[in-house]
Amino acid sequence: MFIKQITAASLLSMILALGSTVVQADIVVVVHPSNNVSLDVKSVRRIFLSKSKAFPNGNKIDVYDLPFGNTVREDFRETVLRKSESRLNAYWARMLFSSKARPPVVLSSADEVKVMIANNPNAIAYMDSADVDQSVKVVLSML
Amino acid sequence: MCLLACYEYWGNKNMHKKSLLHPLFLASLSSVMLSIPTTHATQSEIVFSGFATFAYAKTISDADEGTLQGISDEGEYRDFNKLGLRLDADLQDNLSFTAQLTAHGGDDYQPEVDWLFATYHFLPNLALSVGKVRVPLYMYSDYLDVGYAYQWISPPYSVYGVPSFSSMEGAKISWTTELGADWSSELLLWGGRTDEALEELGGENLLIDDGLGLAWSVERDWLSLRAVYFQGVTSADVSAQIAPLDAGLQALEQGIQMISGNADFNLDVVRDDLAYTEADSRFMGLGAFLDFEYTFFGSEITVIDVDKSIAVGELSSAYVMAGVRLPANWALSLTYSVDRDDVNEDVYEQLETLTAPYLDFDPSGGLRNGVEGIIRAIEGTQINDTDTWTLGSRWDFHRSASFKMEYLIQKKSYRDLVTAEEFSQKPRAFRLALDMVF
Repeated sequence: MFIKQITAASLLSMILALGSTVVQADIVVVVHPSNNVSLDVKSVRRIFLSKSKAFPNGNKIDVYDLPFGNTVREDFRETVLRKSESRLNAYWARMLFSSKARPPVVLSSADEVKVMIANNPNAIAYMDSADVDQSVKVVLSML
Repeated sequence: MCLLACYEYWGNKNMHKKSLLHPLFLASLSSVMLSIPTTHATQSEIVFSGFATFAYAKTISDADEGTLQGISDEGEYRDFNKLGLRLDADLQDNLSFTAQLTAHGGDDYQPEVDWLFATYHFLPNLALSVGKVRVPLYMYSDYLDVGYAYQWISPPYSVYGVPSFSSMEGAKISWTTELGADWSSELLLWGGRTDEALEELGGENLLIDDGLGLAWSVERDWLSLRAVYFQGVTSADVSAQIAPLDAGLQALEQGIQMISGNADFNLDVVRDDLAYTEADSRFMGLGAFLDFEYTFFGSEITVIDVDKSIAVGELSSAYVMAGVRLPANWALSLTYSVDRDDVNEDVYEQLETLTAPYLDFDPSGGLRNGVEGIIRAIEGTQINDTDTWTLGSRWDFHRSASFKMEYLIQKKSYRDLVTAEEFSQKPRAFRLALDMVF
C-alpha cells in the first residue's frame, strides 16, 4: 500500500512537472533602470540564494521574492534555483539560524515589486515578462 | 515560506498600522518577511524566528546492553524536546543584534542564552561580531539545535558529542569572498573564553581560556568543504575521576617510602598530570557535504588533543552519511559514525619514571603490580570506542515541519579498569521527532 502511494505520488508529480512546463511563464529578472549589471542564470541563482551579496559596483543587493504558491515563483524556483520547496526551506533555515543570510523579502505581487524596484537602485527581482513596464529594467530573460 | 514570524517597525507608524490591516499582510504571513515600500533610510527592522523539536526515543535491546546516547529502555518523552526563540534586530548603518534562547526538555526547559551578540559590517562581506557567539567547530554548529535544517534527528553523537560546548564569550570575524563565478569562501576567525557545564565531564564546567580558532569553508552549488582549527587552555574539576586512583597512589607512595627510606617520596606530580588544569588543547576538523538533486553525502573527521589529563585521551571521531531523496518529500539516509578514544600515555609517563628505580627492590612484586594496576585503570578510563549505524528517514509533510524516524545500532567497547579485559555492549534504539521552524 505504501509503495503504491509513493508510486502514485511520483507519477502525479511527473505529470504536474510536465504540465508546469507547458504553462510556464516567461520569467524575466529585473533591476532598477539605472543599474547596468549584466547577469546570467548562474549569477542570478547565486544572488537569490544570497551567495552573492553585492553587485560588481560593491553595492549590497536587495533581493525581492514573490509569495509561496505564485506560479511565477514556483517556475523561478524550479528553473533558476533548481531546488524543491522543502530543500529550499531547509536551506534558508540553515542560512537564517547561522546568521549568514536572510531569505529574500517577499512582496505580494508584480505591482509591488515594480514600486519597490523603482525606489531602490540596488533591488533585484523577477516577474512575468507581461508585467514589465518602464519602471524596471530586464537583465535576463528565461523562456 | 513560513520560516519566520516577522514584525517590522517602520519609521512611518501609520504605514505600519495600515500594513497590518491590509489583506496583503495576510498574504505575506506565509512569506518570510513583511515588507512594504517605504524610504529605506528610515527603515529599521526586528525579526523574530524560532524552532521546536518534539521527540521520543527508546532502546529496544536488552537492558544489559546499556543506554545509547542518553536513550534508555524506559523511553525518553521529553529529554530531546527543545524550543528556540531568536531575535534579529537590524539597527541600520551596518549594525545588527542577535539573541537566541533555547530550552531543552532534558534541562527542565530552563531557557539558556545560546547567542547574544552585536555585529558590525565593515563591508558587505566583512563583519565583526562581539558577545556570546557560537563556536563553529563543526559543519552544523551554527544550527545545531535546529533539527529542521538537517537530515538527522541530531547530528552524529560520535563527532558532535565531545566536546559539547557550543558558545564562547568573545569576538568573531567573518570574511566572505567569491572565488570566480562558481565558488564562494568564508573565513572565520574567533577568540574568547568559555565556562560551560558539560555532560561528558559529569556536569562539571569546562573552562577554556585563550581560545583561538580559524575555520575556512568553500562551497559551490553542490559541494561544501570545511577545515577548522581551534586551540585553547582548558581546565575542569575532575577530582571525582581521580579519587578512586588516589588510594592506589598513596599505597605506592608508602611502599616506596619504606623500601627507599625516603620519607619525602611522593607522586604529587602524577596527581598533577591526572588533573585537568590549564591543559594546552587542540581541535582539528575536516568536513564535506555533496548535495545533488536526488542524492546527498556528508562526512566530518575531528581530532582532539589535550595535554595530560585523565579526563581526555586522544580523541578521534568521524562519520560518513549517504542519502537519497524520494518522491513526496521523503529522504532516506544511512550514517556510520565512529569514535576512537585512545590512551594519552603522557598522563602516566611520570608514574613510570618515578617508580622505576624501586620496582626491582620489592621481591613480592607488589609495587610493580600496583603501578601496572594504576596504569590499567587510567587506560580503562580513557579507552572508549563506539561504532554507530543510523538508518534515518525525513518526511517534509509541511512547508515548515518535518517528521523523522531513526533506527540506531551501536557497538560500545570498553576495557575493565582492574583486569584490562575488553568487553562490549550493543544497544539498539529508535527515535521519532517532529521538527519545526517558524
